[in-house]
Parts: sequence; structure tokens; C-alpha cells
Amino acid sequence: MAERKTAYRELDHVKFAGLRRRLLRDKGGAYQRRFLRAARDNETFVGFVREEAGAYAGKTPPLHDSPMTESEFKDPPWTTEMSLYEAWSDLPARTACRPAFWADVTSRHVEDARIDASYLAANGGTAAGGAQRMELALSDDSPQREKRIDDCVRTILRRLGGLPEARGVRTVYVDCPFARAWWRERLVREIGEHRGVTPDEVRTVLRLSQSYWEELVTLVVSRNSVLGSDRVRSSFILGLADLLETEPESPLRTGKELRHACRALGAVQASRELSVLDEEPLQSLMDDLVRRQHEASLKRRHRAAASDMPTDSDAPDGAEGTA
Amino acid sequence: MTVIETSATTPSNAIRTHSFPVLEAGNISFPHGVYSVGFAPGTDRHSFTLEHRIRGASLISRLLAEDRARYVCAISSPRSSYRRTFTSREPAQVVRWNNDDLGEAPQFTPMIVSVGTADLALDEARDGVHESWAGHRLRLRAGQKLAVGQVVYLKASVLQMLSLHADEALPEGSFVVDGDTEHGFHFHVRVNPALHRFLRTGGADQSRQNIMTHIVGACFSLLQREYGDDDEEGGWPTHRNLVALQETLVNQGLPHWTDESFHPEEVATRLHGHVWTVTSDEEA
Repeated sequence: MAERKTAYRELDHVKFAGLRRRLLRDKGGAYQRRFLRAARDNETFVGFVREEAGAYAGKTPPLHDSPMTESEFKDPPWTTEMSLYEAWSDLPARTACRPAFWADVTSRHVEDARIDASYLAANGGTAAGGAQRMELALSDDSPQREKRIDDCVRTILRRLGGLPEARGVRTVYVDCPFARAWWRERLVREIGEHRGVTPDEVRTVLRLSQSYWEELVTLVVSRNSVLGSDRVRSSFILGLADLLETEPESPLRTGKELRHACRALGAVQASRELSVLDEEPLQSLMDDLVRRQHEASLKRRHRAAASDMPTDSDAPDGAEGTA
Repeated sequence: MTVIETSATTPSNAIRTHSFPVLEAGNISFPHGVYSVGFAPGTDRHSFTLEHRIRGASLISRLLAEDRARYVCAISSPRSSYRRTFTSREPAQVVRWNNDDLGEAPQFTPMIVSVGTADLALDEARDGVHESWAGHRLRLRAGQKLAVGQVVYLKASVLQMLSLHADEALPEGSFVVDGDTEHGFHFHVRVNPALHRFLRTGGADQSRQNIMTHIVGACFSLLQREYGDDDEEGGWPTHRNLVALQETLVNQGLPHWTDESFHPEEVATRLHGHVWTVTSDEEA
């Protein structure tokens, strides 16, 4: 363990970034294959990560209290996300946005057999499980072999702690299941603090699909001037929650229509600093904006139906875990 | 205290249209308006003192005097999804944050915004607005941005984005640059211990400056290597200080790492040119 002391234990972030970069550069090569072979066995995998990325000493958050199935790890139900957040609720945001921290948390879960290293390679939907996916990639001798291996390696890195080199800042919030659980549940509680809503109403919006969550997070971290303020995003998400309760089939259920709504919000924020508004006018403005966007989305859908053209909102949007 | 001025002629790539005159870079609504903001970091490492000053934009000055506008500073750290605004009635403003909330060095956006609602008829001479606004009747709404200053990044220059670390494994006189994306983007420079000591204590020594220029060149090479052909959504542009560095280069008329004309050594030496002393013999 390195001497440098951090508040929370984490991988040596410079070495870990170096490991990620070496792996990304070696598409389908010997280093990627070695990494994949290591991920077939828990002990070998943890040894590989520790040897290549070291770790800094610090406080260790508790592990999930029982072993998880691959499906529970890949896409935890809200009850699991809630219990993970409650166990880690003391984490400061500055720690919870660090891939090196989450990679260490995930590695410790592998080390303690709460999850298998092979789960990290599992992709979304009905695709093969992680172990099978790795075997297929390693034994493949088709021209797609290099890509398959590279895809598997990228999936593991994303699940481990995030892959900022390829996915940017949002990767922690979206790709690493433990981190995603923490940030999503934190947002549920943040919104609840601002308004008298039930957590379930908020979760309905935040858990519509993996791509919907990704869209929301991307808007929060990449358009910080629009949805960065907790007051503004809380009001916006509450507006969505209200709308989806009364209009469950609204096109705003799709990520692409959500992006339209956020663009409209961005246009308002360009000339008004909404975070300084009092709670009531802010919520009223947001409800109005969401309602108008819902109507605009419906019009787009009807126009497209009339001309028999597919629209953004018709595009498949719910594919899980293809990150 | 560092002072940053914003006026219509401040360089900006933005093209904006608003339904209200705004004093900001590239916007001629207040042709003679200047919004200056002085910044001074607090000694506690989690506060900043700001001094807002507005000139040549009588409409904004009047709204402030009538308590219908406030001085505002937004502090943000997109990485940890943090953004908070602080308002003040006085031009001198202290903003504080909790370091635990921030995933990177904070960025500050100073502005002046209206509070409450009012109907206004604009007058060119009285309000200092551009003639195109003269005679317009407008509804002022709460939160309306009246003046927007330059975003201040605490770490937006390449020298502020690098840190030197002694590494005993490196032979004398050598260094290695790695990128570190863990806490906002920064360059992690491993340096041989003797060289590290010299760089830390070399003061204004010319050799030190030249070595730092060499290191900056290596940093730019890394950006070109890692991000030169990066068009994947969510890549380097999600690191705000890299975006700020890119903007700094663009504002200085220099190419950046995705441009074909980008030569790391050229940009490094244009920013931090090599220095030397000409001896009298050489002059002769």
C-alpha cells in the first residue's frame, strides 16, 4: 500500500489512469488478453489491478452485506441501490466522483467474493453473461476477435470504476454500478429535501431506463450551467415526475425528447439565472416548461406519424447497460 | 486582487440574442459598458472575495441602486455535479464553498441579475443602451441576467495544470509526463529527485524556465497524442480546465491539440519562450 494518505482508500489514480490508457492502446493485443484472462478468476484479477495500479491507504466504506448475482450487480434494483447508498452516505461528492475510488470499492467486492470479477464483463439486456462473453472473445478466431476483446476490456473498465478517457466525466455516474447507485440515490434524496415528494415518484423518473439516466447525467455534468444547480435540477425532475404521473405515455419518457426539453431549459437559462428564483416561481416555471415540451413532443410525433417518418422519440431508447 | 473586465469588445466566439440588453462579451447592447470583477482568494483555501464594478451601463447601475438587481457569483464543479449561486446587495462579496463538494478546482461565474418584476421603457441616453434598444418597452423578470462576466477557472493555464513529483526511479536530468483525469485534468510530471529540487527552488533561474518550457511542450505532446483525433463524445471536452486551456490558446491566436497545425513545441515556446542572457562577447 502506498504511503500517501487519502481520506478514503483508492487506487493510485495516476497508475490506474496509466493502466487504462495502456489497455485502450492495445486493441485485441497481448496486454488486453492478459487482462481478460485475469478477470476469469477473482484472486488473479485483484492481484493484477493491485500490481498495476497500487492503492493509497485511507478509510474503507463497508462492502455490500451479501454476495450479489450478476444481474443484481449489473442492474441493481432500487432496494439494493438504496441500501448501498445508506451504507456509504458519508461519502463526500469529491470522493464519489473519482474512478480510482470506485475501482478500489469494486475490487474489494471481488476480493471478498461479494461479486465475481467476470460480472464486470457482463453487458446489457439479454446478451451473454460476463464469463461467457470473455470466453467467446478469447476463443474467437474470426476477424472480429480484436474488437470483441477490446469491447470486453472496455466493459470491465467501465464497470470497475469508469472509463473517463472514452466516456468523460459522466462515466462514474453511468457506467460503474456501485457509483451509479450512490449518485442516483443521492439525487433521489436531494430532490426529496427540496420538496415534499415521495422518493418513489423521483425514482420512477431516474430509473426509467439506463439511457434515460445517462441522458440526465450528461446534462447535469456537461451542461452544468443549465442543470448543475441542485435547485434547478430538482425542480426540473419534479416537473418531469408530475408529468409522467399524469401522462405516462408522454414522449418525454425518451432520452432524445428529454434532450429537447433540456435544450429549451438551456435557452431560458441563457438569459435568466433560475437558481436565484424562489421555490414556488421556480417550480411553476419548470412545470410550465415541461408541459410545453410534452406538447411539442406530441406534435412532433403526430407530424411524423402523418408523414409516416420515424421520429427521435420512436427510436429505441431503453436498451440497458450497453455502456 | 486580479481584475477581469468584460465589455462588448471582449473577445468572444458566442453569438447571442436576448430579449433584454445584457452587458457581456460580444454583445453590443451596452456599447460603453464595462463590467469588471476583482478576485482575491481567501487564506482559508475555500473562499474568494469578489469586487463587482459596473461602468457605462446606467440601466444596470440604476437597477442595483433601486435594489432591483443583485450581484451574483456562481461557483461550479461539473465533475461532482455542483453549482451554487451566491447573491449580494453589495459590490464586495465573499463566496465560500466546502471542498468536500468539489470534484475539481472550482470555476466562478460573476454576474448581475434582476430580482422581481418590472416594466421598463428603455432610453438610449439615460440607460446607456445601444440605439437599437431605444424606445423598447420590456418586462424585467426575476433572474434576468443583466451583466455576465468572464468565467474564472482557478487552473486554466498549462503551468497551473501540472504538478511535479520526485521519482527516484528516474535517472538524473530526466522527467516523464502522464495525464491524470482523476480530479479534473492535470499533468502529473515525474521528475528525477535532483532535478525536482532544482525546479522547486530554482527561482527565476533561466535554466529552470527553459526546463519548464520543455515540460510544457511534453504536456502539449501528450494532449496531441491522447486527444488529437479524439472525436468520441464525452472525451476531453468534459474536462472543463482543458476546455479553458483550449479557449486560452484560441484567444491568443494559437492552435490547439485537435488542429492539424498544432505543433506542441511551437505552442509551448510561444507561451513560455526560451530565455537566455547574451554575454558582451557574443554581442560584439
